[in-house]
Amino acid sequence: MMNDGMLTNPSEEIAQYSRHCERLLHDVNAVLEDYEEHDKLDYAVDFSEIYAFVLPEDSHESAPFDDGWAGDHLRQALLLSNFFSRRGIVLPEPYILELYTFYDRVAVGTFGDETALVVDAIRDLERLRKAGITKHIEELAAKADRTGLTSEEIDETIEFFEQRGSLLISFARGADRTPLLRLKQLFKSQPFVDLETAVPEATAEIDEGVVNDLYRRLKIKRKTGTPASSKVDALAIDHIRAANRVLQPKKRRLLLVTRSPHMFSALSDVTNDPAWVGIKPFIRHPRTFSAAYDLPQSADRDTFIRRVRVRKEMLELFIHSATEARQTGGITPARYAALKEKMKEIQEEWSSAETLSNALEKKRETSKGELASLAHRLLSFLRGRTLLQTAKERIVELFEETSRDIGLVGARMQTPEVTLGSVLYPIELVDERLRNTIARLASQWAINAGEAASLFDEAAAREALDDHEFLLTIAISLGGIGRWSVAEQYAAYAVKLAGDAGKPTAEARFFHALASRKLFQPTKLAEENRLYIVTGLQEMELALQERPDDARYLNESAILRGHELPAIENAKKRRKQRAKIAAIFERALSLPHTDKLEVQILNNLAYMHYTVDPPDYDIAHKYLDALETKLESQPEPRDRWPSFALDTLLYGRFCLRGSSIDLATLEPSVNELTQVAGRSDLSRAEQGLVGQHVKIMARKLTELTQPAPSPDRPRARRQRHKAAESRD
Amino acid sequence: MKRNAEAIRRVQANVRAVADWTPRHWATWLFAVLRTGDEYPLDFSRFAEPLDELEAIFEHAGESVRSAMKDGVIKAIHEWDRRYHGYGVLQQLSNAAARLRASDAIHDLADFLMRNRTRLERDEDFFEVADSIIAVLAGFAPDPIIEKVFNALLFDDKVSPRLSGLLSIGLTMSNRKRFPAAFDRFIDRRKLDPTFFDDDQVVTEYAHFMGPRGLAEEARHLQLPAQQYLYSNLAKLRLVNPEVFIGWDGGEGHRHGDLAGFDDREEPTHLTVRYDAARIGIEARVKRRRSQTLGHAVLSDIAKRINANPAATPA
Repeated sequence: MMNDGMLTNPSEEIAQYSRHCERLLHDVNAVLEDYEEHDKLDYAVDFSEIYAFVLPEDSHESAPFDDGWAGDHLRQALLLSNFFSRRGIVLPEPYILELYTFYDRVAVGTFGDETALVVDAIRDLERLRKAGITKHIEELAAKADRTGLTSEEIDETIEFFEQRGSLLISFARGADRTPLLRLKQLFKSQPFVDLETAVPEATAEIDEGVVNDLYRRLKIKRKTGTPASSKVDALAIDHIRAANRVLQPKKRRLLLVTRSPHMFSALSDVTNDPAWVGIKPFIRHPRTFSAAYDLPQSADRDTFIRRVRVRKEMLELFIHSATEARQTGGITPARYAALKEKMKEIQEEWSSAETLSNALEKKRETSKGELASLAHRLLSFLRGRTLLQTAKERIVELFEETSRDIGLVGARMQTPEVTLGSVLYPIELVDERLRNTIARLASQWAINAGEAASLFDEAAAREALDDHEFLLTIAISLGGIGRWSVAEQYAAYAVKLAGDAGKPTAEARFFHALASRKLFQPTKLAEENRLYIVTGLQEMELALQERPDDARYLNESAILRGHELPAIENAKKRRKQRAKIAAIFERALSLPHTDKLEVQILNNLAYMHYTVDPPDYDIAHKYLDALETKLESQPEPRDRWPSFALDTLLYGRFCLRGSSIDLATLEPSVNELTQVAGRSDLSRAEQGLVGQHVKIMARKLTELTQPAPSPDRPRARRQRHKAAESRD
Repeated sequence: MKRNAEAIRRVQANVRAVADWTPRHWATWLFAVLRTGDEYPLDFSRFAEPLDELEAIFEHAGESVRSAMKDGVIKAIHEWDRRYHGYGVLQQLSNAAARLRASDAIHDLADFLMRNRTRLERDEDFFEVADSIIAVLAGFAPDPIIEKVFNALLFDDKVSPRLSGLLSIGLTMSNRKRFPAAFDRFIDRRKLDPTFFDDDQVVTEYAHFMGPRGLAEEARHLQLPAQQYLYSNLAKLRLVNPEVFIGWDGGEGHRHGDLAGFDDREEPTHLTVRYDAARIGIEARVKRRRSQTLGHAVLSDIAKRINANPAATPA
């Protein structure tokens, strides 16, 4: 994170600056050396830089001042993107192995919830509007449509948004691309070549002693982190050392691009060791590909080198003054003021060298007009619904990605269709077509990614759809694929927009309550976790004020209240409260409702009566029977019954039978519930809960089972066959 | 279908025929059928093994018949005499005990092994029956008697190393905490006869019991050669993802991925074992032409997979 001289201790502040200036000085010296010598340079890259490009938000590098690199993920991503646009970047084998395992994980889509950025960007815009948009920017917005913008105006626009709406910029730049898309972008230009292919002779030069020495040094320097990282880095560094040994006579050098200060430091320590004699330092920080160090195509080489030298002198001067001040009487107020002045100069020099506009300007060399189009896009956000339209496009991409990722999982699991989630209730939108689509999806027990995506597509295609209905549909689609944390944010925003527009909020509140409940984890006690239920209850209270006789609302409200039951310490009060909740469920049953809702209500009534202490098994029994009868009357076979209902039935029957349960009944139940626990139409918290039920039942199963051989064990089977063959 | 119906009818008839058999009846009948192959007075299919038919009766019978059958097998094992019945009969009786879950047979079978432990060194005739009984006993684990016997036999230098695979698995199944000692001992004994073992099967058996990831996790307690053996086989058999061994670096040593069995005290040699296992695992997953380096094959594989899923047009 940027610090901008906010430290209260001047000595510490100067020391921090000084340390960072030393790092920059290393970069400048290395770069000048590269310019002055005439070796042909090739680049290798640390896997961590690929990781930082694919998941920029995970980058942890910070600096005490804006050096054109640290602390700004977007700028780093752009600079890395410039770096990765070159071909023939060498990857040593250890980093290729890391890339493989990383790719595997990215491909199954387990990273991040980029859809969150869309809603964050919408909030950013709202804040921007509230804070007030300057008249000049408004004029620019109008002009952008009429005649286009000059390059100064483009810079002004970007600067305005940079200062006030960084998430909007990220959004407009497409920084919310999924990691898989970023990896695809990376591989599209085919940038990588493996070191063994690039420098085949290097393998023979690899020295295990050097690897072990580097490993120990890295391990000591890193203090935290796992030793495996140090091992992989040590191996990779030695691969590059070996390659440089081979390349040396050919007047070629291979430089390793990495931001790791420990790798840099470890290498500085070993330069005089025999294995390293003649090998020039080869680590380069990725910031050396920014404007402060990298020769622009159009620039004059000598002028540029002079400019870099000036920067070098500024750094040296500051380091010298700071060291001298520390050694001779400490940082007095006068010295502090003088040093601060120098610090300001350095900061200005570096931050102006690499602004976002500069980074984008570089990109323009390959894609002209991108900067202008970014400015146009940002200004268009200020004028109405363009952001939502862009959001639509982006979410379409995300859904496509999700479908493909899940398809991949399906292929791996060799199942023809992966069920993903469900639309629990028909949400009644004003838009008739969408209302019907949601009702159709809600009539099924489970839906897949494709169906959730088609709901979203349909909403995106509706031109006249109200914003809040659009956001609510996004929330429903995301809930349909189990992304409840983002769905909750969209639903909350839909409630707000509906309220702002003076439209009924009940349905949005109802869905928001459901999404909040889905985020609640019954096994977690944290206050934050409980807040989900509080939010849900508040929303349901307001929704019920609008529509008091809606069976869906009553069901959801009763479920939320049921989650509060375990927190009531007094058993008598708990029982009383349970009776009240049961009355709400019963009232819901007395109102018009669908078969699916009836199953849900019966399920909830049964579950509540046998799980909440003290259990009432007689009533639970009644509702379990009713639930089973209801499910049996439905067209779906048992294996398509909803997971929550199967859990209630199987675990309920187990609890009701108590110690009298026999092996023949229990064994198939445990097997069936084990299958249910893994189903993806359950949220993570629900999977955990079903898993707990399985565990309890499995424990009983172990008690009932005599220590038994597993007849399917291949070894035992083989033995049996052998035995049969050798029979007299 | 017809054949199935016939088989069911036959089993039902057999169940009726044995309704009042005592353990004595069963023991006598077992000796007869296992020695002569004559199942009289029951009716077995000529296509099926006697033990398969016996198991079918057990599955279809009521609790009292099942109990008599179990007791009959236990009785037969107890009364078994090498001079009259031969090792083949004992081998089959022990298998019958496994099939009918007659766990009380443990005592006699364990006792038999311990009484004959000196013959476990080199007696080829005896080896086969001992191997079979050990497999059956391992199936009854966890049990304190089995743990004791297996422990004694596994760590006895005079017992044939060929039995060490089964003994180590059985000991681990009896007491999971013994896994490191049992597995290290197996690796130690395996060195004496390395070509005898089906390594894929040994590792698969362990993975079956402990779960592949659990196995990788526990491997941190093993000696280096055992760790090397286990990791490389887990990787080769693709029982775990290469990610488990190596993961990836998210910057400055912050390791990511579903890593298993990491220990901060790991020495470079242990890490080399992990690295090599990741390499083996990845090599087993990507297609590599003879002229290609592994790195080249991996990069081509990723590029191919990425292009197989065409990217949505980025904004």
